[in-house]
Amino acid sequence: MSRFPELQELMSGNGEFRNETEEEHPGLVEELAQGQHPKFAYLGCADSRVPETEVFGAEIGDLFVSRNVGNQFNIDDLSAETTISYAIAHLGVQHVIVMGHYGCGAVQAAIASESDEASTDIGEARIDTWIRPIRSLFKSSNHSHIVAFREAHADDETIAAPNRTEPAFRALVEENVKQQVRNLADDSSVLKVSLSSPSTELKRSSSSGEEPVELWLHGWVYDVDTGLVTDLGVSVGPSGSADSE
Amino acid sequence: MSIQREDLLRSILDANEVYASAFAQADPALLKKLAKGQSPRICWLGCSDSRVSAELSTGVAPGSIFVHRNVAQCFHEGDLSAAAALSYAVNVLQVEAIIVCGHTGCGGVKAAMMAAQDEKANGPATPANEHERIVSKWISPIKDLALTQLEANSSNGELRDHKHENGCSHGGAEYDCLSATALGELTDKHVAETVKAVAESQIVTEAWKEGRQLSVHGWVYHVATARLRDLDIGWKGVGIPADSLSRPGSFAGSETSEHLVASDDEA
Repeated sequence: MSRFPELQELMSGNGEFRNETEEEHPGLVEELAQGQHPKFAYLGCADSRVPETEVFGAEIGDLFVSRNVGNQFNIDDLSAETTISYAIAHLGVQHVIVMGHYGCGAVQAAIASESDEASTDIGEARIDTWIRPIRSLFKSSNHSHIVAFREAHADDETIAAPNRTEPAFRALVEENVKQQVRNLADDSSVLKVSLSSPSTELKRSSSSGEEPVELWLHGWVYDVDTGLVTDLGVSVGPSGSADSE
Repeated sequence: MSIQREDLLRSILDANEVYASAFAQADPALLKKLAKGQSPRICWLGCSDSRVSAELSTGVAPGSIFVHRNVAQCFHEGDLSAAAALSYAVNVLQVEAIIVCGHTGCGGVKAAMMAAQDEKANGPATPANEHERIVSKWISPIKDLALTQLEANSSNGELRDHKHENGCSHGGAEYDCLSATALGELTDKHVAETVKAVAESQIVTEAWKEGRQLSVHGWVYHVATARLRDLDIGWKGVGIPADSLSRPGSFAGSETSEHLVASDDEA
């Protein structure tokens, strides 16, 4: 690994992680080896700046995670669908947290004009297709900042990738999270839980015993400038009930 | 939402405040640098399993690893999510290494083995509900690998394991396909196949054609020991093996001196 000492560093880091975990949480690894019982499912961005477990001050075993470009949940995406379905139906998680982050490259690309390479380069085409829902959201959103941005650039031939401080960019990051929460609320696995009664076949019990657990969906955003997480206040619970804060 | 649930969420947000202030104090320069943009050198394809965090298990600082996670860390042909993530990592971020990291005790791998066991005995199954349909569709390629593994072990007449309650009988052979060893073998095989698929993807081969420094590696995280193992089946060019790290290459080599996970561990 002389050409890539960083990989060897990961292995050394692993050794330190094992020692630290045993010191700070003795027995945790052994306990988790018997099985996982996370209370949360997390749908976040693949971005390297948002290591969800650390950002939440959580431990291994706490979050069942789906991470993709732009923290998306689309009806035709089997990848995120499988993770969420498994978390809800098999692991009985109580909360699904969708978290986006300011400065998200996927959201930024959704605002900027499509590149010419998207039609010729297969890699670019993949990204372009993947972020299409965010692009649609940018074009249709009624959020005042986004509307203002669209109007300001209506006559521009091309729109450059916005700076992370651009209000419309920040707004779209938040609107994207809210959209994913709405998409999740319509998902079959989620609906089945919120509409289920004890008599249906999909019975979810808490890790302690038999009583059925509720499922709540939340939309949060991570600020890369401060490291702080904010709840967007769009939580949805059983039978579509909203959580008013 | 009950007070209890609110407290649960509140505790995460409180812990986040501690994280944020600790970060700002410990490394304000890094926080500022990362705010402007990310430049990770590594892309990680890992499992959704709550026990396997790329960042925690390797002790890296934020901004180091671009992470895509799904059930059983798959790179399926036609999966736009993984393709977009890989393309973003390789073409936009220009990462230098891709690590496919599997783990022991994987629920997806176990489900695939059980589906293979069932299919071998009873023919293709019909999913009982929507959840099963989704999961069985997702793990189908792993189930096919498991079928191959079962075939290879059933033609051998030796009694391989004494755990009869978990045995898969086909003819006279008793292969415990749900033993830690059997599932470990399937886990390793699945990681190897995924590494191969990533290395053979258009995204990676194009990068190599351009002369980019890029390697693909296969690792396994052992949940019983929190230890990472390099399977030593990586690539750094078309048909060019990647350098290995000094770790045991086989599952058996890693587990013999450690506590073996019970075969019915649930993921």
